[in-house]
Amino acid sequence: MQDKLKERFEKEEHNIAQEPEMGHRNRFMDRLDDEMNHKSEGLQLNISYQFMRSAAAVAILVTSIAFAWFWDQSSVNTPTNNTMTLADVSEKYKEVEFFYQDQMAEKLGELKTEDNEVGNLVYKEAIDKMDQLEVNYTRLEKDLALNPGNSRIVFAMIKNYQLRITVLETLLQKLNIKETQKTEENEKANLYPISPIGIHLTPFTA
Amino acid sequence: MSRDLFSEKVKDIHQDLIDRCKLNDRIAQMKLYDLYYRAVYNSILRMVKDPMEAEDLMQDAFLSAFSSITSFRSESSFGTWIKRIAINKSLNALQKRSLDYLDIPEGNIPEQFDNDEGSYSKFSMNEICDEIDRLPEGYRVVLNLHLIEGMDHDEIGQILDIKPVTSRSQYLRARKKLVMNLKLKNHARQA
Repeated sequence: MQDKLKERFEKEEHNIAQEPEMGHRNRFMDRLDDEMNHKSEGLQLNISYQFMRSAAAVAILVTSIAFAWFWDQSSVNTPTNNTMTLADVSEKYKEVEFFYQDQMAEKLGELKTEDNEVGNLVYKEAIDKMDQLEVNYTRLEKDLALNPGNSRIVFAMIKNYQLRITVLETLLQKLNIKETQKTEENEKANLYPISPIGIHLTPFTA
Repeated sequence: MSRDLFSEKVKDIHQDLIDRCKLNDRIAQMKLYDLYYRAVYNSILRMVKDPMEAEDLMQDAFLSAFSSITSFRSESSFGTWIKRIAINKSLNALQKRSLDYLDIPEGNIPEQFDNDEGSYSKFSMNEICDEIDRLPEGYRVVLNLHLIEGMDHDEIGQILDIKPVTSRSQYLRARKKLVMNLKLKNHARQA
């Protein structure tokens, strides 16, 4: 014998369908927006991070070759206190150090120009990261004073500078993505106060 | 045959939407949502019973589906696939996998259904569903999956991680209990 109860459900299933609360479609679009923003931000940062890593690797290689070249030609200065800077190693390293310090100052300056909530947060993050890396750098300076001209320590110091630049570049990119998103959303909102497919545009929140 | 052709056609229509969803096309995603939200919502609502929770889980199911759409193979329809995701989410919400589903000893499984139509024919679908909702969860889940979702016992076995024969015996016990409750309700009505 057939399961008559099952047959009845097959025939009349549509009679028991209910609708979700009004506005579920907009609530879903908000969640979809959040999800996608989050995802694309992660993706772009990831790409830029990958790129910066490769760039840093190339820079280290170039610097190492330059270092080996100049090492033979320049004499190592004697340290005057218990720390030794890159500039103390040779005239060329003085330039290298100056170059990185200049870059850092420039990028920090760029980060500081965004005087808003997001900008200030990112700037604070930058300063915190720079402080952390500075602590490592000071330790390397002390090590270098104890082992004047030690190539591994000099490499580590250069790497430290490069890492600071990478961090600043990444934060700048992060800030730019957020700014672009904000501008695009503002533009969209101005163009279509009510969007053509009925999407209710939500303002960007950090 | 004609059913196969029809489902092939449905598959084709949706394939375009699915391909576009793979590229994160918002309009295609919303079209799939519009096509399936009601079915998905109702499947979940019958399991978790709370409309707010059901909406959340329904949207979770769509977000999961969209984020893993590249792994969707068109062997099953999108509707079947997302319903499966939805049911899994509801079961997790109910933590129903730990329910006891008892086997009825093989010999005791009735091969035929009693001629019990009279006990429920006077009730509307909504009344029958209300009665299902009042049953213990172990019964409710199996009745929902078999009667309303139209899953067979192999599929139910898979999703609940039990043997198909266990699903079948659980269904029969649940069905018996449901019919008995409806019978009592009918008597009460007549009295």
